[in-house]
Amino acid sequence: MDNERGIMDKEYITTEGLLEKFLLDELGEEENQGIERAIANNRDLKQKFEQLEADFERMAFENAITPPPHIKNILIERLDEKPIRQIRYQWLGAAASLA
Amino acid sequence: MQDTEIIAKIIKKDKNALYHLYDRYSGALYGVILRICQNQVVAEDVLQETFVKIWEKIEHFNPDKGRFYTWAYRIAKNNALNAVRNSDKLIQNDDFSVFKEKENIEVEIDIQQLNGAISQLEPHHQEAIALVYFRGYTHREANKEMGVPLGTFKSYIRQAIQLLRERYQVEMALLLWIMNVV
Repeated sequence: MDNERGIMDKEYITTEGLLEKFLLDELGEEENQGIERAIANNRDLKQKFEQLEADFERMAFENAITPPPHIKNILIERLDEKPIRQIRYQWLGAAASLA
Repeated sequence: MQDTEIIAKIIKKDKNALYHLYDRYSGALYGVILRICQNQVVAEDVLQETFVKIWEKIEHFNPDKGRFYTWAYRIAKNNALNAVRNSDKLIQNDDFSVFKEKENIEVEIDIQQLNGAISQLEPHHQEAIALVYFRGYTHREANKEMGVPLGTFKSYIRQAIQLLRERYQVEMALLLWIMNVV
């Protein structure tokens, strides 16, 4: 619920669990912007959000699963391919414009 | 090296910096992705796509708005949910060929098993956090899944977060005490 300055009320954010939903990317664009404004304007909310981020990150690391090594190799190959493709497309585009 | 230094290098298109970030975060992100996808081959594709997106969109990351991991988690979760929806569409369209092939590779790790502080919480607290954080459910979907009113579900989440916080604080205090003693 926004107040007259367009800043969501801290109690409303806390009781509705909006910081959690914001972190989990469950909110719409307008609500996201409201929460971002509220966090930027309220030190206590900012601290709560930073704590939530730290705790969830730690929980994620406690439940990490090592991906198979070939995934990194595929990623490396994919990123190495990209500039070549771009150059090829640029060259084709230039050739087409001359034709 | 701090995340901020690595990210600055990625913005300058330093691929090695991205691989450094991959080494640091791929396990945590893959833990989430695999639990959402419930399928190893799909999850591997999603992890790869996530890091390609991180590479392409890194300029959009704003450290003033939160941690790098939170930003990457959102990308991973959305990619994983989209992949699951696409798999469902294949089934609805009777195009089983791709999905069947992917289904045949079983997930060898028990992805339902949770570790660390969350595993020490009461079952309803564990389930609430697991559904929204590790399975990609919204609060509304998760409260239906658990068969409790939305208000009750929100209380479970609030309580679980508080309990996690307390456990991490105790661990931190213990760690500091050990460091002082040694």
